Amino acid sequence: MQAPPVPGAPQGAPIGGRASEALGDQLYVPQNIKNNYDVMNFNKIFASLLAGVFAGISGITGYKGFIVYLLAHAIMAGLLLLKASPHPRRFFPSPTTLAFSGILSQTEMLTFILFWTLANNVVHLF
Amino acid sequence: MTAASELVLDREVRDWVLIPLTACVMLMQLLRQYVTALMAGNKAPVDPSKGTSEVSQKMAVARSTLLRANGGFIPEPGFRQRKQYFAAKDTGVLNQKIEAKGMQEMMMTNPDFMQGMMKQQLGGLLPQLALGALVNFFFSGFILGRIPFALSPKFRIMLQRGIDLPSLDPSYFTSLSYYILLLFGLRGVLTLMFREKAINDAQQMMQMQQSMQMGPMGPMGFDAQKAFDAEQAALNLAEHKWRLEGSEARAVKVLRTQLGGK
Repeated sequence: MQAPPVPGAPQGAPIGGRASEALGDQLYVPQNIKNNYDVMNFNKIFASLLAGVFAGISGITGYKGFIVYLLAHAIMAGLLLLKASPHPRRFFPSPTTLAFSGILSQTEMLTFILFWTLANNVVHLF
Repeated sequence: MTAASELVLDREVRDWVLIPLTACVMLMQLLRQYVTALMAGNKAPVDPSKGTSEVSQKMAVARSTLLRANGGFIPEPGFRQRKQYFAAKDTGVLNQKIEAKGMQEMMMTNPDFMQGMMKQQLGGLLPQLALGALVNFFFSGFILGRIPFALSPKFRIMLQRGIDLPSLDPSYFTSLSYYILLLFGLRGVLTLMFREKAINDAQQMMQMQQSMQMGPMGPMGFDAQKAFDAEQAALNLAEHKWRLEGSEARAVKVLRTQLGGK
């Protein structure tokens, strides 16, 4: 059992910095960051699933399927950026997480491959 | 691709193996999820008569940590006041005597811990193994489907157990390997359905290994006395650094760059 999460601990500010230093970066609330990551992961897994089904049904085989996968992720990242559009920095610590995180992650890749295989076999192979 | 390298597979195989197997594994994962939720819910919640003290102790430690981390943002008298509240000789919160938990209470938390882990392991691994054995028994010896991209021959061992045709494309797989692919692939779908409560076998394995590595710490949950002592020592060392001290100098710098540029 761990101690309960310390709410709102600043993660950008050094502890007791020198008086001449700036007051530190923005404060990050851990629960909000986690929530944002969860939402983003949810959407990316969903995008991988749809990409797999799409690639399978349209009979794409070989490396072109992975191009479909990357394309789906790019479109999803674009939509997420649109949703976060005024200040994407307010939602994620680093600006590139939206676009690039989770593309090579095991979960999404395997989801894509599974649904691609399934759809391809059901529609084209039998 | 030439037609010679493509197998034509029976439609019955698809109707009676592929789709049912997918449905079965999906349902099994759902069942596991709900069963663990039910079993976890059956555990008695924190007993209100003796539980609140533990919660308030944890909260006290958390507040003290926050104070040390953010002390620079409050004025000095405020910091001193709070420090006094926590670390004063006899009346400070961190100096309260913690009634040592009787062995009885330890025993109560102890078997829960063991039981929880065993239930986790059993509930997690057993249905998968059982279903795997069933799949191997019923659906062995034939090709189930094809992975849509070309694979190197090294994958043949993984994907085609029990079939000895070296000329067969390694993209074709048997039921057992499809079962394993399903297990891995449906993790993503489970995450979609259950957000963060989805059981993640790989993660659990890693977590268990890590906790094993940390050595068999007494399964005592939260040791209040030690935590309090550590916090108090740290708090006594903490000094107040008033973060707004140099703000005039910083303001001058900022204003200079802003106005100087014009």
